[in-house]
Amino acid sequence: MNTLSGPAGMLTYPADGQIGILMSALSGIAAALAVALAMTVYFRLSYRTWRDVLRHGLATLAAIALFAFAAYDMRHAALAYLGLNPSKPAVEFEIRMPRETLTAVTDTQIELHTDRNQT
Amino acid sequence: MRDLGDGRALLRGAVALNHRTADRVLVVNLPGKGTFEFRLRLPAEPHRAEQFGPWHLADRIASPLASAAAPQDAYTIRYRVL
Repeated sequence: MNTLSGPAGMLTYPADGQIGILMSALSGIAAALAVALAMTVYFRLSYRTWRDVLRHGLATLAAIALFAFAAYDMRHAALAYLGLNPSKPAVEFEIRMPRETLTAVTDTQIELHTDRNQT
Repeated sequence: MRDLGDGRALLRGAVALNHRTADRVLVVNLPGKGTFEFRLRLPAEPHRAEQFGPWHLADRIASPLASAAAPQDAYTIRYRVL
């Protein structure tokens, strides 16, 4: 039962991911402000040519690309370590049966039936 | 396939879990011997395991052999998620 209302209530009882969206928006705003400040300082502080701007821009792009790749790779490694790898799992099985039953292994047919692939 | 030496043989294999569902039945068809069904007791999104689980009896056997020659407790399965 919710006894709190207003902003305090939102922080205590998140509803349907609203608080997640709010936090993402605030993070994006903060990041954009930081980038805008950095660019303002860069363009106003010192004298540079267009070649300097191009070189600095390419270096920044390369650094961002490397950082993004590192973040993606670390996320993939962390998910794999935690067993949350989204790749399709498989089931390995062993079946014991009388020896005389398993005379022709090559003719054995094995299928996995589910409610998704059977009518 | 491996002979266990006690009158039983061991059949090993693997199947991919292509669907996210808890309703999974492994069907083994041995021509001339019958069809054996094993229900996999796994959640819809199972976690990987290092060890095999316990042995389970076959859930259903449809065999042309006499029922005495194909007792249900002679067919057991164990499995693990890769």
